[in-house]
Amino acid sequence: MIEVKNLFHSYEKNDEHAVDGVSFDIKKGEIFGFLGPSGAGKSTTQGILAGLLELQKGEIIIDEEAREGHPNKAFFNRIGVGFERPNVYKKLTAMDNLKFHASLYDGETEDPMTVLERVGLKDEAKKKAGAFSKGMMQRIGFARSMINKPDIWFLDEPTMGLDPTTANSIKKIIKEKQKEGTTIFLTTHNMFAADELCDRVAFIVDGKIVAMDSPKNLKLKYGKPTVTVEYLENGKLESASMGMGEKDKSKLEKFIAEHDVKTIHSGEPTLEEIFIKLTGRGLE
Amino acid sequence: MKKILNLFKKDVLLGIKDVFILLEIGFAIVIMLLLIFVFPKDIERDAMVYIQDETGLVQSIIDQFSENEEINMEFDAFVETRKEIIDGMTKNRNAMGVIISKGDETLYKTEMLVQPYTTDAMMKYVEIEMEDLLSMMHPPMGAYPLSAHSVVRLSSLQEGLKDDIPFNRRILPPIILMMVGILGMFAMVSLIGQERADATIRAFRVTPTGMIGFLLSKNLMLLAVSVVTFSILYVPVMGGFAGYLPALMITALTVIFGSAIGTFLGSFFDNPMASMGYVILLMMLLSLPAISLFAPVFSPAWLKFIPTYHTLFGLDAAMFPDNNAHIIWQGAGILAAIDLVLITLSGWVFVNRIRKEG
Repeated sequence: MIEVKNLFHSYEKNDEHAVDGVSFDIKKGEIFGFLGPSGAGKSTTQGILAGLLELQKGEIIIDEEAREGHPNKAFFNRIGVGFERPNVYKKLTAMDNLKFHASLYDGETEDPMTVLERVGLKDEAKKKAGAFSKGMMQRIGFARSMINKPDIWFLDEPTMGLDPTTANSIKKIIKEKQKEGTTIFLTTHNMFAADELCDRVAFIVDGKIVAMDSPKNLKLKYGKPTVTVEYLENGKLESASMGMGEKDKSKLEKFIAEHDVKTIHSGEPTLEEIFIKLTGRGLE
Repeated sequence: MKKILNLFKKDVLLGIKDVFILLEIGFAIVIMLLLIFVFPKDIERDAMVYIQDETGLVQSIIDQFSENEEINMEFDAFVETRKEIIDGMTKNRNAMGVIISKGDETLYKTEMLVQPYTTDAMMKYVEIEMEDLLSMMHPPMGAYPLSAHSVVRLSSLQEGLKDDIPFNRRILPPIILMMVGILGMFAMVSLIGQERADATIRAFRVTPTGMIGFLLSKNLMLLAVSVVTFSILYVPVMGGFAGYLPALMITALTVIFGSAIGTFLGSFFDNPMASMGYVILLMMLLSLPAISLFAPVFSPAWLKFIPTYHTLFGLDAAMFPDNNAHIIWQGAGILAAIDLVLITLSGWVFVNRIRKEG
């Protein structure tokens, strides 16, 4: 559905590229995660795809149609964009924010109250957005991004700053939208959210994609399953981790035989650990 | 069109909630009250016709009316000499005069004396009306030849004419320029800056409603506010709607000029406060032509290159007619041409700058 080939972008139009030869494709109905630390080029890539930034070099093909110049109205009618920063009109109510935004589209839009209800803001519909917490404003922005029933949805850090319950309800909405056939491009540095939501992810660092696959395949390919053993030594509870490869099996058997083992937990590596292993740096 | 209307509604709603619109209207009311009650108030004079009738014609007409219609008509405008007419017209700028005397070839001869601001078209109209009137009253003579009528514009009254206009009215053009016209620049910088600072413009940019609509709605909102504030200042201070439409036209063109400059500045500053230095500097520059309005001796040629020169002199001509209607249309034409160029240019710069920033 979306093909990106050799995408470059330089803010200063020089040799310093915020996005440096990025290529990937997203299938219809897929949730594609773009993961990387701040300044890696995630939002720039999303900005170019969403039409916020000009396409300087590279190709963007959507439904087999290559983009030329600035995207047309038809494209903006079919996309939704959720921003990292809660950018709503603070002097308007939550309802007025959504009503106004809905009025900017040509096609059928969602009922603002229904969308507010989905993000848990039904009771706050008539309150000024300026009186909301950052998380609540973030939810208005999220609700706004789906007001036009988009079939391509760009989400930048959709769960950032939200409490766990609200974050879960947002993740649930994202999954529901996927089931309805929406193609989702999600940028985040929250590896847990990405692991939970994304069908495939791309790791991006310094404008370049360093790995791209499903979270499961990445973990299988680059990670190593481990066993964590808790045991008593001199009356104190200690723990030790070891691998689960063929060579490690005898080592584990020996360890169990020689120690007063209390618990054994098997575990797989996290996406974050894989990211650190591949890029040599953390996500913050 | 529906989208523009929705944008306009949003901008008005935000304008009211941001207190910007209320503040503008409030200021206009305060200034208007100051102009009326603190500055010298104008004394309105009724339109009047001074008559020097050497033939008794007018008196006979009055007598006929009084007998037939059983009404009493009293005239205190009969004078004996031409000088009395001119003195009366000097005191009352709404007055005119008529001298009726015996003609050489015709029964009567008329001479109309009109104020210096009377237009050529109006003079021609008066001439034809007089001819018709006299022809009707004395049909056996047939149509009176044109030579039996003359209309004289008293240019000698020109000198000192402006001095007769009360001060509170004289200073209205620069006040309208600063409070309404230049408001466009100040407001546009603030409106765009706020949308950029809050990043609401980014959410707008990913909708199918283009940036032209974004700018157009803000311009419409500013124009709407301008009409209200202009009317609050103009109508009570001028004591009516004389010259209202041409003055409003000049003001509206100036608002568009200001908003185009504001759009240009807004393209380069993502925070309204950061651009205020430039805004104030420009406001000072744009108010310079006011010096020439009050002190005509200061009228260097370069002053005419400042667009607000045409605003001030256009407003002045619209508000104080002095056979100077051409100044209104000349000013409007120049401002419209400048607007066209600046709107196109500033819109292009704005859209391109915003797209580069993402």
